[in-house]
Amino acid sequence: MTRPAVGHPDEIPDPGLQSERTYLAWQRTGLSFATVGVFLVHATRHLDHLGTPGRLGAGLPGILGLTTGAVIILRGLLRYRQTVAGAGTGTPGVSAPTAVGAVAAAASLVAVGGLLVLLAGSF
Amino acid sequence: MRMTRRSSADVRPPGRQPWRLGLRRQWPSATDVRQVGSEPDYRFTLANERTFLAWIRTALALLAGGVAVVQVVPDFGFPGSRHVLGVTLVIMSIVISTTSYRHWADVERALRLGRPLPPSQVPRLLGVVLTLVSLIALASILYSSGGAGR
Repeated sequence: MTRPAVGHPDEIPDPGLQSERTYLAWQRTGLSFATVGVFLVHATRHLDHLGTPGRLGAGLPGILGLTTGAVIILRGLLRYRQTVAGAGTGTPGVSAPTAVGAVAAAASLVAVGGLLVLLAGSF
Repeated sequence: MRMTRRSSADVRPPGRQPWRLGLRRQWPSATDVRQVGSEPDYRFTLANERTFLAWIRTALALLAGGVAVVQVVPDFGFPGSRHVLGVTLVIMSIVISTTSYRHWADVERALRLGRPLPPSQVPRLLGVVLTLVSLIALASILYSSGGAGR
């Protein structure tokens, strides 16, 4: 059995499909962010007692989740191309502290916002 | 082997920086992470990244579950049980998402220095919290089916 021909000039055999698995992990995370975002926006429907400005504010965590999800999915695709290109050549700098930090910060803000939405709807 | 009394600094696992509450400590900057040691095998870096992303998804799932148990699930159990469960899950989500970057950076540092990976208390905490949440949920379901059904 022969290996299929490389479909793209930049494509480099990637043992363990590390780049692809990482890309899919980013994609799942982006979809999770978007789903939670939609859910959090939906959860503000109980917050009529806050008035219009309050309800708009309560929608912010959900909107942040949706935006983060969209950015992650787009960026994941670009990053996938970079890591595939860099994987075989041993290009240093695969580590992405800024992206990781930004995702952690976004998740923290969405979670704190979600707690506030929950508490605002309860009392 | 004779056990000697050690200061807390000595028993700190390798690769783990002293725990201090502060933005700089909990959120080390990108250059701090990249400066130490040498570039590891890219597969290790990507594996660390995927593990971080899995924790973020866990945090998001806990958040969704916490909001859902308060807003979507019909009233069950004793008064306030849904709120106890929901708020607990969301607080757990906050704990995971705020500590995840720090742990990712610790692992990255250990990889770059060729040291053993740092331990984390988060899996144990999550296990304990989820066990308690499940037990409270089970008790609530039994309580409401026994009370309202008759």
